[in-house]
Amino acid sequence: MHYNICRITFIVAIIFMVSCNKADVNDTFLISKKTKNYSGQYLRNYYTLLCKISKSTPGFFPPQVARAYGYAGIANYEAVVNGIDASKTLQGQIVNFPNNTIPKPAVNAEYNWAICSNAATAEIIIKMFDQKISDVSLHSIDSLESAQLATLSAGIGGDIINRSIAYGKSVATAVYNYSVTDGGNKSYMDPFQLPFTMPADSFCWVPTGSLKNPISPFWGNNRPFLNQDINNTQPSAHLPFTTNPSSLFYKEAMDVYTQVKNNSLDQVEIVKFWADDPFQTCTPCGHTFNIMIQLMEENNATLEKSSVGFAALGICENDAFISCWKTKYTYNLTRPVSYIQKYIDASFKTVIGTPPFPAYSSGHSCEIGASTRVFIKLFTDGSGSYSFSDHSQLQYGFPIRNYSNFDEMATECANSRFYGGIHYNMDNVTGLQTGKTIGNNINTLINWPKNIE
Amino acid sequence: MCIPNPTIIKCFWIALCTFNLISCKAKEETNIILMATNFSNLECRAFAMRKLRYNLADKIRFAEDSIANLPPGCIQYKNLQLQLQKYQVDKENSLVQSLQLADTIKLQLDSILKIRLQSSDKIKLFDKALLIEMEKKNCK
Repeated sequence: MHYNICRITFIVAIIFMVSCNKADVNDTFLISKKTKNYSGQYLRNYYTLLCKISKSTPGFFPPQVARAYGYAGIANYEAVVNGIDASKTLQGQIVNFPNNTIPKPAVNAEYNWAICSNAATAEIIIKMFDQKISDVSLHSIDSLESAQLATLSAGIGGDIINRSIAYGKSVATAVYNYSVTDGGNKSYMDPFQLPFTMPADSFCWVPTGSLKNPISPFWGNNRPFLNQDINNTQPSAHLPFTTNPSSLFYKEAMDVYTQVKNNSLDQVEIVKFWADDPFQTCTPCGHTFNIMIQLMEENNATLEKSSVGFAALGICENDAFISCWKTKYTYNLTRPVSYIQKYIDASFKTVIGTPPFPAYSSGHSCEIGASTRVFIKLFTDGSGSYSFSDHSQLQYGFPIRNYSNFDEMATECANSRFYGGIHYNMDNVTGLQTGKTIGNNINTLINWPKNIE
Repeated sequence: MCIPNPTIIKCFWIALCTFNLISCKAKEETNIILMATNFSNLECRAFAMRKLRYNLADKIRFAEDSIANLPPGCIQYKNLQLQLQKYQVDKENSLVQSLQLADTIKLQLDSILKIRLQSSDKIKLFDKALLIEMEKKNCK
């Protein structure tokens, strides 16, 4: 008797669970064309524009740019995720982003996921740059949105168009509302986060140029998308600071000095290629996104693959900068140029200007280490082998650089900071390793859709 | 009437097709090289702008380094300040020009890579031809 009751209860529970699951699946997902059936070009156009806006908006330094790219990727991904087979929303997967944060699509209604994406991405970019966005940038976003909407709307019913736009915008608003509590909201208004006092110890960072305050000293306290990207990635301390000429620390500085004095012409080119240019850069993060755009174009990535790629890369970049900035302001280590001028050669000049924040660890190395994990997952069999020519810097007068492996590219980027006299070698080795861990986290701890096209 | 040997006819057609293929390929290659030559004119300008930006950036940072070690009010300090103001104007001008040029290059490059070339072999040929042209024009 008792056994029968248990059995009936169990069966009822199963039926209940199955029926609950069924209720979640409505015809919306069956009657709407899949995300993979749309071109990814619409989305890539926004990322090209995002680079230009990042360059021209005041207050957008590398951490701020990485954050903007991060939320843009999430908003777009959530706007199209319902059109991707066997996909999971990021709700419940990233920090403080619980289920029901994002509005659900209407039941039994058709959506055009490309129009959703178009609306969501335009909306989130405007929101991320908000108070500092220029009229020119606003106009560019509006023009792109309208032009793409016109193309995407051809032959589609007005109700589907309006529903898709409204849904895209509502997703962007929900993602933006999520963003405002992460610690970086409107940080472009105050990128130096004053008041902040750098300790006066001899190992500590001192200004290396006209900017007397270091950038975003509290950025490491921001909420990441994955807690593991911060908690499990903080490196051990750098070599103990000392001015003793027979010490390992002195040797690190001496290595930078010797390298800069003996750079080959090619090494100087590498420094400038990865430096992301004086006056007109969308920062290292923007350069990496430009590479992603090119890779997607080479692979004819659909809206599905483009959405997954940009979301994963955005999460990587955001978390890489939080993790790296946490390290930077834990150790506050002085830059090689300051050390060398004080203890080795007062006339020492770096190849390019040194950015205004502490040395350990390298932001370039961390972000490229993280992002290449995403490239490897998306575009290779896992080996990292990929014959690739970076055309993204041609527009700024740099030659094409060729690589046969993404790790080779990451190493070159990291080394560029050593050749330039910007970083000690230990900064780059550590940054690259931290970045790789973050990239691996994002690939493995988030449940991304498989077999995307 | 003399009917040619079928083997000869076959050989003739094969030779004709091969010739066509080779000449088409050669023509395509010539077009790609021409494309790279035209593009290199823009790229040379971008290269010159880049050199100018880096030189200016160096002048600015070296002037800032020097000014930091001078007592405010001395003649050298004032001269350097004036110099820095001039550099800032140059910087703004160079920024505007560089960004306009970057937009033009980006548009042309997109049209070349995405629409006109597409295949990776053709893109590789274009890259190689561009490099040669840049060297010829001493823009490297």
